[in-house]
Amino acid sequence: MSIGAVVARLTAVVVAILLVVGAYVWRDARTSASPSPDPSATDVTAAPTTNPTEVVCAAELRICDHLDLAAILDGVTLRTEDGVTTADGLVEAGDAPLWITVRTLVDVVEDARDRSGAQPLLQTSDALAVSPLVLTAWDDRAAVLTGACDPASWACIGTLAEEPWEAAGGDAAWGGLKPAHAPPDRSGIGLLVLAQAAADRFGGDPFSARDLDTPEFQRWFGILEDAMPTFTGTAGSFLTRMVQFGPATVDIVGTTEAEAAEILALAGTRGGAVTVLPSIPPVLVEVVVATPRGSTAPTALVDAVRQALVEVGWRPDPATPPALLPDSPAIVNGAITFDGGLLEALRLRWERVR
Amino acid sequence: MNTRRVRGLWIGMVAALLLGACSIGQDDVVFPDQTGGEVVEDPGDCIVVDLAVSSEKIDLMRDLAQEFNGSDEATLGDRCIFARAQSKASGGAAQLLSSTWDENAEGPRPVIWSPASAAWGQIVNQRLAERGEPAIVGEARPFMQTPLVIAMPEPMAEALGWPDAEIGWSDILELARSEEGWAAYGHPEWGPFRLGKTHPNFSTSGMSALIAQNYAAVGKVRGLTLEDLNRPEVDEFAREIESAVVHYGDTTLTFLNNWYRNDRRGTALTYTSAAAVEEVSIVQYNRGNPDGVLQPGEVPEPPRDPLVAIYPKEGTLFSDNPLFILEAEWVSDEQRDAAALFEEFVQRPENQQRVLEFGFRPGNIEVPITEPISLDNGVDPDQPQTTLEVPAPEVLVELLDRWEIQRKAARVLLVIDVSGSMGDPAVPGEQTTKLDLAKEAAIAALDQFAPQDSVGLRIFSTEIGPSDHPEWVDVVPIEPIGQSAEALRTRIRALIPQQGTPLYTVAQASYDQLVADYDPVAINALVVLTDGRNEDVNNDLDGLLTRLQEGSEGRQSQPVRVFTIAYGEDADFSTLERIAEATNARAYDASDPTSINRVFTAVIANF
Repeated sequence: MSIGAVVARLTAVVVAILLVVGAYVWRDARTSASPSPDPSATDVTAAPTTNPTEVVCAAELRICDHLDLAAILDGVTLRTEDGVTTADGLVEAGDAPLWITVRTLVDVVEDARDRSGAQPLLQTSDALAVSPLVLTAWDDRAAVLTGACDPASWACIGTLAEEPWEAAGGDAAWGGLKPAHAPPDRSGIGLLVLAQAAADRFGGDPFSARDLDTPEFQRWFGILEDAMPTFTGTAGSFLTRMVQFGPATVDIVGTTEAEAAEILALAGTRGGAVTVLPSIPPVLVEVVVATPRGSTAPTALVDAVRQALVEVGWRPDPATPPALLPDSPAIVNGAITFDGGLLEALRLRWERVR
Repeated sequence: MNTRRVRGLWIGMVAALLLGACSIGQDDVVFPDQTGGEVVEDPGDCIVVDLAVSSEKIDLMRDLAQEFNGSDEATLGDRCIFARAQSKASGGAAQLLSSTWDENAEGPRPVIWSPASAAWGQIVNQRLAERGEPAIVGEARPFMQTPLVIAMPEPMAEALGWPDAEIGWSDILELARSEEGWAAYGHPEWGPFRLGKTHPNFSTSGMSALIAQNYAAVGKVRGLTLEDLNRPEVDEFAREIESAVVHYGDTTLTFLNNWYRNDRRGTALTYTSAAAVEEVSIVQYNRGNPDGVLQPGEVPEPPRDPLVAIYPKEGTLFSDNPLFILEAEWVSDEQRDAAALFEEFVQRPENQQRVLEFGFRPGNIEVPITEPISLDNGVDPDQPQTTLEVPAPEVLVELLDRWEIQRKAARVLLVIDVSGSMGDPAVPGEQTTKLDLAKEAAIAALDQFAPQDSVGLRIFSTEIGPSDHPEWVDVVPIEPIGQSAEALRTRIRALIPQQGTPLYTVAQASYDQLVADYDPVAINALVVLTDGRNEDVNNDLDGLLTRLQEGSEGRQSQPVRVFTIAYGEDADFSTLERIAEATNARAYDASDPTSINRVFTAVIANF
C-alpha cells in the first residue's frame, strides 16, 4: 500500500472516531426533532437485545470484511451476501437473522410479506450511516455530459446513450456511452440507483408501477440498460472496474458517494481523472441493522458497524461529508424515498430488459 | 462464398520417434511443465493449493508462491498452506477442466485456475452445461491485465499512418485482400502483407483476436449474436483475414522470437507484418527480451526496429488474468479458504508492483500504471479507448467451432521414421517401444484435423524405398481426411522398425518438394519429429541450414517453415532448433516421450 493511501486510511480512522461521537449527538437530536420515516425503526434501547448466532452483512456496503465479529460477539458467524439475495430469502422466511443492510431492502421485504399476508418479520435500528447517490465519470466524459445535459442526469444519459459519444460532442474514439450501476437483482444500492434513474425520467414527480409500462419509458429504459457493459466472471464493482480498465470499459457509474470516496482515494492517480457529480433527484441511502421483530441489535455490534461505515466513506449524518471526499458535490437535502412495492416492480422490469 | 476460402495448406510431416527412458518415481510431486522443465516441490503436511496458470505469468506466480509459502500468511488455523504453480495454456486447461483432467499426464488438478482471460471460465461452464454438469468457475478479481493489440514493426505502422491514423481490423482486411501488398504503400521491398495469429482454441490472444475481428465485421462493440455469425459478409471477413496468416501456433512467443531473430539479421520486415499479441509482449520485445525469459548470461539488446502497439479502432479486449478458486468436487472447503488467502496475498500493492515489472497493468487500483507502460516502450497507457464485450458463452463456443472451418486448410504429409532405434523400449524395462507411442500419438493427432484438411503417410529409413528415393516410401497419398483417415490409421498401426535415420537427406528432400510445389496462398511447412541425430552419409548440416535460410529470406521468398520436435532424451535438440530457426519456425522439446501427445497437439496448433 502506498504511503499516501496509508495516510488517507489513518486520517479516516481518526476522523471516523470523532464523527461517531458526533453521530450520537446528531442521532439523539434527530430522533427528538422528526418522526422516523420507517414505522419499523425503533430506539435500540427500547426492546430486548437479540443474541444472534449469525449476522448477515450486505456485500454492497463494502464493510463486511472489516467487521471483526469475534471481538464483538461470542459464537457468532458472519455471512456476507448480496443484499437483494438476502431480501429474497426473507420474503417467505419464518425467522430472521441479524441483518446489516440498506433500509430500502427491509422495506422491500416487509412490503412483499404484507402483500402475501405474512406477518411482519423485521424491525430496524435508526440509520447508522448515510450516503447520497452520485455519478462518477471520467473528466473528459463528465465535461461532455454536463455540457449536453446541464445538469448531468440519468434521464439525459438514457437519451444520449442511443448515439455514440461523438453525437453529444465527445471524441469519436470513445465509441458509445457506457454507463453502469450495480445489478439491482443483487445490490440494494443498484436498486436505488435504478429507482433514481426512473424518478429522474419522470421529472422527479411521483410515479407508479403502471408508469413503468408506458412505451415512452420502456424505450428510454431499454436504451439505457442496453448501453451498460457486462463483466461475466469478473468480481468487483463497476467503479472498481472503471478505474482498473480505464474509460474504454466504463464511462459513468451511478453509486454511493461512499464508494466513490473510498475507491477514488485508494486509486490515487489511477482515479485522478474521475469526476464526482451530483445526481438527481437526491436519494439518500441509509444503512441499518435489522433484527427479528421484538428485538434489537447488541450495542457493540451497532457501534462497530457505524465505525466501519464511516471509515469507508459513509456519512455519520447527512450534513457531514466523508473525510475521504470532503468537497463532495452530492445533494442530500430533499431526498426522496421509494415504496418497497415500486422497487420490486422496477426490478422486475429490469430483469426483462437485461 | 469467397472462392479463396478453400486453399491448400501444404505441410509435410517428417516424424522420427525415439522414446528415451524417463524415470518417474520420486517421493515428491514431479509433474511435466509446459515451459519445458519439471517441478519438484514438497508440501509436507501443509494444505496444498495447486495452481494452473497461463504461461506468461508462471515465473511471477512461482515467485509469489514461494514468498507466500515462507510467510506468516500461509497459515489456516493450525495448518500451513503450500501453494505451487504449474504452467498450463489457457485453452488447454479449459479443455481439461471441461472434460477429464488426467493427473498422471497433466499434473495435479488445480484449486486455483488462472487463465489469461475470464472468458475461458465461461467457456468451461458452457461446455460443462452442455454435458449436463454443474459449473465449476465462479467470479474472480483481475490479478493483472493487458489488452490485445496488433503488433507491427514501427516502419510498417508508420507506412499506414500511425500514430496519427486510426488503424484496425478493417485495415488488416484490406491489406490481406490486396494483391499489391506493401507496394501499395510505397514499400514493394516488404513483399505481401503477412499476419501472425495464434490458435484460438489454445491461446487467449488467438481467441481475443477472433472475437475482435468478428465484432469489427459486424460493426458492433457488444452483443455479438449467433445471428451475426450467420451473416455471409461476416464469414467472408473472417476467411479473408485468415488467408493472410503465415502460420498459427499455441503461443505468440513463436512470432516474437522469430521476429527478434530476424531483426538481428535485418530481415524482420519480411517475416511477418503484424501479429495479434498482448500489450505486455511488446514491452518485453522492445526491451530486447522477446519471450520474457532471460537465460543465464543473456544480455537483452533492444531491437533495431521496435514493435508498436496498434490498439484496434473497432475496440479490443483485455486479458484480465483472474485467479478462479474452482468450485469443483476435488477442492475441499479447507483448500478453498487457503486459496482465498493466497489470492489476497498476490493482490497486495507490493506484489502488484511486481506485475508492473513484467510489463502488465496491475489489477490492484492502488498501484499506479507507470513505467514500463509508456509511449517510449511502444505502448500507450491511455489506450485502449474502446473495449469489446465478451460474447455470451454459446456465441464464444460457436466462434471457436466456426474458426475451424474458416481457418486455412491443412495439407499434411505425415512422415514417420521407422529406423531400427524406433524398436527400442520407450521406458526401460517395459515392452512398449518408441514406435508404439509414436503410432498412438500420430493416430490421435488425426482427430485434430478438420474436414477440409488433407493428410497422407510417408515412412522413411535407410534403403527402404525405390532406387530414385531409397530413403522413403509413400504409403498413403495425400487425400481429404474424410477419405484417408481409416487407411491412415490402419497403415500407421502396421508400421515396424527397420534401419538408419537419414534425417538431413529426408528433411532437405521434403523441404525441396514443398518449395517446388509451393502454394503462395497457403501455409507451407514441415514438421520434423526425430528421436536422435542424423545417421546418414549426408552429414552436411551447415549446407542444409544455409539452403533453408536462403529460402526463407527476402520479399520474393517462398517460405517453407520447418517445425521440429526433439523426441526422447537422445534427440539432438540443439540441431533441431537450428533447423527450425533457419526457417522462422520453432523447435519443440519432447524429451519426455510420454509428453508426445501434448507436444503433437501444440505443433498442430501452428496450422
